[in-house]
Amino acid sequence: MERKLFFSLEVGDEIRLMIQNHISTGRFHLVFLTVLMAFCVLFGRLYVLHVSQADQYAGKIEKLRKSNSIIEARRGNILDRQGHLIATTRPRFTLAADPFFVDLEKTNNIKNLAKILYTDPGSITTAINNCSSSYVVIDKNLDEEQYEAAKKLSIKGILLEPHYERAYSGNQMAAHVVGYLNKENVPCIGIEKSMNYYLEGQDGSRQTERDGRRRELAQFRNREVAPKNGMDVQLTLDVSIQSAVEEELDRIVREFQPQGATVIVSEPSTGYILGIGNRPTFDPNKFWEYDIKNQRNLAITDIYEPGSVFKVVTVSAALNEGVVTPEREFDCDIAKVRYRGKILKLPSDHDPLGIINVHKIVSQSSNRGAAHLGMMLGERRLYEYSRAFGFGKKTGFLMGGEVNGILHPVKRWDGLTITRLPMGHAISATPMQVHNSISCIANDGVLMSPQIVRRVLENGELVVSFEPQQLRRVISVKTAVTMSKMLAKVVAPGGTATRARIEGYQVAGKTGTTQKIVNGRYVKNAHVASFVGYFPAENPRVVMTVVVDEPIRKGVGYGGVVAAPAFQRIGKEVIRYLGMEPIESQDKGIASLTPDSNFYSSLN
Amino acid sequence: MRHIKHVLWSPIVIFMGILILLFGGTSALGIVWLRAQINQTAGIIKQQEHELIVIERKTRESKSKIAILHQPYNLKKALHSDFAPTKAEQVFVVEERADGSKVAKRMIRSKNGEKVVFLVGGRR
Repeated sequence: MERKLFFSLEVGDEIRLMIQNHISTGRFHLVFLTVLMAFCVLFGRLYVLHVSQADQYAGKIEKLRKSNSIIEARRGNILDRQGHLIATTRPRFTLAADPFFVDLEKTNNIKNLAKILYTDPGSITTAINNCSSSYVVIDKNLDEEQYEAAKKLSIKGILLEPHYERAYSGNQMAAHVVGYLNKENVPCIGIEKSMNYYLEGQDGSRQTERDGRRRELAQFRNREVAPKNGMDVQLTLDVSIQSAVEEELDRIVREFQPQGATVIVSEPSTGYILGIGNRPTFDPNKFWEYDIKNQRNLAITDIYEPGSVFKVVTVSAALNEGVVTPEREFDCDIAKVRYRGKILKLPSDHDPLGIINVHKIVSQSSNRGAAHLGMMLGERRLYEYSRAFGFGKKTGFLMGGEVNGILHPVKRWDGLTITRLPMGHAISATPMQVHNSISCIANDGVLMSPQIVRRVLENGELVVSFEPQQLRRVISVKTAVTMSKMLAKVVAPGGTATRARIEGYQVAGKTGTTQKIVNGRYVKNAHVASFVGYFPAENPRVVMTVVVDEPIRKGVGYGGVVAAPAFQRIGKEVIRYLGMEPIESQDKGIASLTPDSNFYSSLN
Repeated sequence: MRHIKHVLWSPIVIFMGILILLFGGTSALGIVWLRAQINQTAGIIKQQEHELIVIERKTRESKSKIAILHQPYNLKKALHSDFAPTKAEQVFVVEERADGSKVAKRMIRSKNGEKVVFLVGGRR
C-alpha cells in the first residue's frame, strides 16, 4: 500500500511530506539560502573572470601559454687565406644543480660526476651545500663528450644547459689581429670588432605556446623569423706563415727578453698581410688572465724612431729627383757644413767611412752621407717624399687603434732637423708605416694599402671582395730597381745585415738601430733594433719587418744582430712553404734587372 | 495532425536524421583525428628539429677540434716535418667512370722532363 502510495505521489508532494515529517521549514530555508548564495558567489566569480576582468585574465593566460623565444644566430667564422679556421663558435654546456633535488647520500653519483668534470667530489658537494638558492652552477665549460657522459648518469636535480662560446683554435696565434669577444659576447678588438657587422648575424624569433610543464607545443607555433647566421671573414693571413712568425717571436723573447717585438710579413704587389705578430701577446680564449697592455697591436699602435731604415726614403727621394746618381761621392769625414748660411754639425757615423758613394751610404748605413743627401734635397722635398711614403698618417689598416706617427711640417722643424731626419731621427713611425714604405720599393715604387681582410663569404658564396688598393706611385721603377740593388748590398758580405742572408736567394733590406728617448734624452743602453727586407730582390714576393724594442744583450742591440737573424729564419720557412725557386735555377738575378722587365713600367 | 505525424516518422526523415547524426559524428571524429595528426606531426617535427640541432652542434664541435688539430704547430708535431708546397707526384686524381669504377692517376716527371700519367688504381 505504502509502495503504491510512493509511486502515485508527485515529487513536490514527496518533498513536502519529507519536510512535514522530518525537516523544519526554517532549516530548509537556511539550506536553500546557503546553496543559493554559494551559486551566487560562483556566478559572481564567473562574471568577474569572464566579463569584468576578462581582458586582464586573458592577457595573463596568454602570457603563460604563449612564449617568444629567441633563436640565436651563429656568429661567422674567421678563416685564413687557405680556409683554415682561426676563430669559430663551438657548443659548450653549463652543468648546474638544484640543491633541493640532488641526493648527496648517493655518493656514487657525485663521484662519477666529479670524474667527468676532472675535479674532486668534495668541491661539488661543498658547492651544493653552500648554495641557498635553487640553482648553483658547478661547471660552465663542459664539452660534448662530458655532456654526453653527464647526461647518461641521469642524476636527479642536475641540469645541463647548452650555450655557445667563441673559440680561437690557434690560441695566441694572431691574437692582436683576430681580437676576441668578451664574456658578454661584445667584440673588443681586432677583426672581431672591425668586421662585427658581417660576423654577428641576426637572431631570429619564434612565437609559440607552452603546456603546463613549460614544454613547447609545436602545433601552436604561429610566427617564426628564421635567424640569419653571420658571414665568414677570410683574412689574407696564412696560418703556416703566421705560425713561423709566432715561433720566431717566442725565440726573440727567450733570447733577448725585449720590452716588445713585432714582425710583419706581406706581399708587396698586393699589400696583403701574410703574417703579423707582437710580443707581449695574449690568448683570446682566456683574455682575462692577461694584462690589458698585452692587447696592444704594437705594429700599428706604438711608434718608434725608424732610424737607419728611413735612409731608404732619403736616398730614394734623392735618386728620384735626380739630385744625385748612385755613383756620386760624399766625404763623410767632414763633421760640419754650411747650410743656408748656418754652420750645421753633422751626425757622426759608427766608424769613419771617408769618401763613399751613394751605394756605400746605404750599405754602410752612413748617417753623414744621409745628412748630405737630405740637405741636397731640401726641407720641402724631403718632407713631401716622407709623406708620400706614408709617414705621418695612418696606413688605413683595418684594425682599430692605429696612430698617425709623428712627422712635423717643415715650419716646425728646428735647425738640425734637415740633418737628422734623413737618418731617421726627428720622426716617429709605427712598424706598419715603416713596413709599407719598404714594401713600396719592393713594388717598383707603388705604395699599396696594407690589407688584412681578403673577402667576406656567406655559405661559401662571395659577398665582398677586398681587392689590392694602389695608393700612389711614389718613385719611378728605375729608382725602385736601383734602390733594390743598393739594398741587396746591405745583406751581401760587407753590408750591415749579413745575418739576414738566405742561401740561394737574393735578399734586399735595411737595418735600423735607434737609441730610445727616455725623459727627453737619447739613452745609450736602450735601443730599438729593426730590419726590413724583401726577397727575392729581383722579383719580390715577400716583404718582412722585424722590430725588437729594447733587446737585452751584451753591447748594443743592433738591428743586424738582433732583428736580421729573425728575418733570415722566418724567410727560410716562408721560402720552403711557398716553394720559391732558388736563384741558381732562375735565368736572371737582380744584376740583370731592368726597369722595363716589370709590369709597373707601364704605369710610369 | 495525423498527417504531420505520418510525415515526421517517415523512413526518409528517419534516414536523413541518421545521416545527419552520422555526418556530425564522423565530422567530430575527423576533427579529433586531424588534431591528433597535427599534434603528432608537430611532435615529430620538434623531435627532428632537436636531432638536427644535436647534429649541428656535434658538427661544430668536430670542426672546432679539426681546426685545432690543423694548426701548424700540431701538424708539424704529428708529421715530424716542415711544410712545403705539394709536389705534382703527390697529387692523386680520382676519376669515377660511368660504370661506377674508380681510377686513381698521378702525375710524375720523367728524366727528359715530360709529364707522364701513371695509373695507380683500378676497379674497386
